[in-house]
Amino acid sequence: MCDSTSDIISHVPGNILDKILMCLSLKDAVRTSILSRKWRYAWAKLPQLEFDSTLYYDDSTLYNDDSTLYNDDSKATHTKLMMIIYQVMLLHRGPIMKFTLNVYGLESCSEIDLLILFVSSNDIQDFFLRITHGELYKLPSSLYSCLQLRHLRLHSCMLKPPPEFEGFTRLISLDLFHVVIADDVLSSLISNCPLLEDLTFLSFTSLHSLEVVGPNLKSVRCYGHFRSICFTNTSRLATVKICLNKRRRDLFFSEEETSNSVMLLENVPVIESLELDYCYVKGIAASGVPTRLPTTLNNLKDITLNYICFGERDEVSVLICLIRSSPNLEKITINAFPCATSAIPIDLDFSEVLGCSDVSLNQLRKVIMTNVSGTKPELEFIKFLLAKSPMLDEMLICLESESVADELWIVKELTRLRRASPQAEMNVSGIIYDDSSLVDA
Amino acid sequence: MASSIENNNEKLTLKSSDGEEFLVEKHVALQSTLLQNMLDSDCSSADVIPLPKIDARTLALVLGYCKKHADASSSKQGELNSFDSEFLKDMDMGALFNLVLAANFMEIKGLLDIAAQKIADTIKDKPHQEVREIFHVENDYTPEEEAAVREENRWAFEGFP
Repeated sequence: MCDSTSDIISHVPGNILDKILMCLSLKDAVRTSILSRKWRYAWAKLPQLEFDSTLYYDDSTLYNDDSTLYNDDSKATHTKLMMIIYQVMLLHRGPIMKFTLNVYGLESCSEIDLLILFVSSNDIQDFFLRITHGELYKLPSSLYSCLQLRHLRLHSCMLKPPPEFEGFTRLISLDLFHVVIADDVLSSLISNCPLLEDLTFLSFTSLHSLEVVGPNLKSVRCYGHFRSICFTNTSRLATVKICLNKRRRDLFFSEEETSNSVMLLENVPVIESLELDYCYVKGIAASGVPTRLPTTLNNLKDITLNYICFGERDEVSVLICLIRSSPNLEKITINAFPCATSAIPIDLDFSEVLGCSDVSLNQLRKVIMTNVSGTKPELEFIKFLLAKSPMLDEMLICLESESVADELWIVKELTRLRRASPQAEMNVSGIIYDDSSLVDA
Repeated sequence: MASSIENNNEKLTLKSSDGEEFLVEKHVALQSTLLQNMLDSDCSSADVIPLPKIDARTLALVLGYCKKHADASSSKQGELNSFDSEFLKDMDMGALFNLVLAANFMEIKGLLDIAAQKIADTIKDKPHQEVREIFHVENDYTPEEEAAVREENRWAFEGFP
């Protein structure tokens, strides 16, 4: 039994002590070496080394004008950081399962190749690298021999595996941010990691097409200028987030080029959460939208569509098709885009959908719509949701109108709509109110 | 925890180091890998399972944690997170270490994780003199040795006394 006056922490079982030390930043863990003899090398046996921003400065110096970080020239910063890393590496003993190199101010250099070579011979399982300074860092070939890798996270570097590379057979999660990689290499990397569950990809360079093949994939988040993303053998996918184009301007690609996108909805039978942008939606629409999908998406609970224009018939028809095919939806989020065409309202006939008894939104609890400018199709859609969702708790509408008078008109229109759910709360925010305060309409 | 209204087959009895008995529902006990393994290996649930290293006060806390986590559905992760942070709030160091040792012995990963994190949070950003005081760690370094340790890891002590 422990009382509060004896030295308990120095005598807990080794695995508990390791656990406590691994909850600390590397700097705090190293500082425990001075507590007593027993502690001197306790940190050095930890199976993880995380060189991150806590290494070089603490929070107080980060925002301080006197911070040495910003006064030092970059060369000196880099040298100092490399010295710290070498000191730590020389004192460390035992296997390294997790290695992180994410320090602001570290430049791409050949010494980093050596560090990666060193950890690659150590059965590394978790590797995170971010080098943001200097030339684009090209990953050394030693990385591709880390076949025990379970988690790989790379920022701002170049990934070019040798032709004989056969994939990371144990990899569970792969995060690539601003990584330069050929699209066919990326596709084959994904399909050569058979256990992969989580994929995150973010890049703003244009890529042609991505083929996502992954029998174990549960989550795919993809932000980048792809012409098409197609999904095959992804029967376990639960979460999909795709953003092909950050801002809605002219279409990045022609509709013909994005037409492969439709594969998605046919290959995700257990999808739970889906977020798409207008660009991907256009791609789906281009290959023809059925009234209802061939497979009902029974698990889908959460749909988010970004930069959707209610004035565009194809985009709205995808939205309606998704709603029709997903009987258990709980939350719908639409970030609308008040596009130029909405000035000439296209007469979308929601009444046809409204009249349909085959649409049920019996589980719908929450609706969020932003950038609502009060066009007829928008109001028709809101009317449709309110009429079809008996369990609705809250509808939040953020207005994007030009004048207070417009806003008042929209609010007036909204209050007239019939609600199937007696407890539904309608919250409207807009320019006449503070950003923070929502007013009950 | 000690109610015995339901069918006894679905419950087992745990005995603390100070002799207090706790009747525990099976699904609550399964939060502990140790108990799960004992049940899997045909250990009769009629027997009293002694936990000689865990006192009644700690065991009651541990079982409170297990019950909350066993009863909550997976969709209530947010609720569990706030329960976890409330659970350890204002706990004195002695009780916290008893809890971490019990969680380690009974193999309750979630509890071990949050208790270890709580102890680490106490060490974080503090000068070592203060850490020594909080945990009653006796400094057995000679001044020369202490200076050598500091020199060995000079970068980590920048900004600390």
